[in-house]
Amino acid sequence: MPELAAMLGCSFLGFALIALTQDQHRRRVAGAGPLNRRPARRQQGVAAVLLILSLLIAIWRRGGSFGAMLWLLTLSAGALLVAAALAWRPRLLAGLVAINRGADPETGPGRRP
Amino acid sequence: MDNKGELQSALDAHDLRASMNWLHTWAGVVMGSVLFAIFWTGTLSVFDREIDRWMMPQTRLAHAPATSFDGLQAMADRLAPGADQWTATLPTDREPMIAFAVTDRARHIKLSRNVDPSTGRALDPPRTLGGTGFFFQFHRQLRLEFLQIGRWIVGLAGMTMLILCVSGVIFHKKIFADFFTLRIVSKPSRTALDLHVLAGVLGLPFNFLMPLSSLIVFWSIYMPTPHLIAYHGDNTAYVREVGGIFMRPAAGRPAPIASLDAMEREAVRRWGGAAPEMVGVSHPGDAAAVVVMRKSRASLVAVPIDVIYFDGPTGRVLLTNTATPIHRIQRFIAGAHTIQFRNWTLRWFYYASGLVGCGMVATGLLFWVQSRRKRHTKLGLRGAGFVEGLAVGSTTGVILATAAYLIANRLLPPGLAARQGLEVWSFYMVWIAALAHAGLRPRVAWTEQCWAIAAAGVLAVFLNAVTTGLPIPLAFARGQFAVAGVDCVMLAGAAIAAVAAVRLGRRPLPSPGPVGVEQHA
Repeated sequence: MPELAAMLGCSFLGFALIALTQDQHRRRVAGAGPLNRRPARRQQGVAAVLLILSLLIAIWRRGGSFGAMLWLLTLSAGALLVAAALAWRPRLLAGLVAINRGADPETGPGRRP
Repeated sequence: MDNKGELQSALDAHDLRASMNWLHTWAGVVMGSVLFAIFWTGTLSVFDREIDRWMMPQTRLAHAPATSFDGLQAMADRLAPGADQWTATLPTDREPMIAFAVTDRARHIKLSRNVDPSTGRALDPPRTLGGTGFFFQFHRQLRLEFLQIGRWIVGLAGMTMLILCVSGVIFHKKIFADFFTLRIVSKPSRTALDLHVLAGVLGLPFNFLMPLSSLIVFWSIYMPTPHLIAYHGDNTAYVREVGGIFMRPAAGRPAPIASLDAMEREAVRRWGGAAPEMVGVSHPGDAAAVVVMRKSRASLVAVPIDVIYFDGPTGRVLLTNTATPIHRIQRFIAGAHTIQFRNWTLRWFYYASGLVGCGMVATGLLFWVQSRRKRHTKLGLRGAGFVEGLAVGSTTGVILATAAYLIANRLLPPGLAARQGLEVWSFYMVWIAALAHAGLRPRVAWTEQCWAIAAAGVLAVFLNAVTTGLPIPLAFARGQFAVAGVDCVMLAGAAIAAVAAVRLGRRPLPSPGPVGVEQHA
């Protein structure tokens, strides 16, 4: 079971990071402005690594066939949890905005083109 | 974009997105009710054997010690002495009994009995279809076996579901911008649409792969001829070659059978440690007796077709069969759909994904009803009211019918021979009543049916505790997790239905809230 928690965690974090490159969610979660293109890409890259990491955990702990199926389903579950968190408990994700404030209009240069 | 003139103009304008919107809307409205019923019964089928335990109290056995294969012949003899063929499906952690099927052609006996593995005694006949006999059969063919009509409708629904996935993704304008968006706002149709899109898009792997794999499971029904061409139209030859079937007539001379336990050890050795899940004997006691063993499905996604045939008197291997590489791919896809393997994590994920799928279909229907009602009322049309009744009856109605089926099982006396049929009747009667109720009281139907579901869920749990003497804590204590699980899920469903009913009742009419379709019994 610890691998399941790890997979769900990776999926949730990964999708939360992806969601928090989007202007509307950044505003809602932390009142933050839009991310610049480069920090946004970096954040999406970290998210992709997390999602792939959860696949590797799945295959390592549960084998190729069971692991791949479980991975697909945990992806959906993680994404749905992110949507639920954004709708009902947006402040939960405020910390994730703080770690990559990158180029807020107030603090950094320029907006995303 | 939802009437014919608009379709025409959309096509004239070569507007792919608009035509996909039309396709998605109408395929959804027409097939939505069938899709919900299939999603719902499919979700229940994930735990079909647990529902069996709940509905067949005589099969709630403690987990038995390992079965002696040599002891099976004596059990078969006790059921029908001198029968010329028997098969025994061995206990698993989901089905603690031995399921015997005995055939005696000479005396026209054909019987199926469950046997308690620790005592060897036959259990009372279940007199119910349970989960495997009802929900699963409804899911795969709507219980319409005549001319395989049910399988064709289910196939059409599966194909429609694939079309809905593709058209939905194409016409959704801001699929990436709205990827995680759920707006809980005062305008209920907005929230219903967001829920529909979220469940559809984020559940896409499951929502797309389930209908796709269902078509691949039943490929021979939807494409009945190609494989027959290779066998010159001889279906029996095809089945014999693919399934690896060995048959021979009785010799008419008696001969003692060799040790079945030794044959089982040989099968386990050949299958690299996998145990047989089924063993059968043809012509027991005859010199031409044949023993067959089928490999367990517990540890593989791909449903194995592996069988081994042994010569009864000597124990020599006569024939073995395994799937070819291409066939194994089909078996993998079939296995990923039917989840006959032993994996509780995936089972619960399938259950949850199925519920999300139900929510997707229901919110889609709800959105259509809500966005139509105002316009149709203004225009004096009656179509939207009809679909609204249908939407209520085919979502909350089918959930209520499910509860009625379980309640009937606990209320009708277990000795009643007609119980099995009456349970099925109560399912359909309550379903029809729910449809009628939705048609007669359209404004409050969601709310009232949610209350009914909440009450029925609690009643079913109460009746189980009273009539079988196994309330939830005791079920947990005795290791009857199937029974405890079904009870707990019903209580949770009842709670969700009650919350939904309260919220729906609070909302100003005539706009039913989106929460009403999210509950599951």
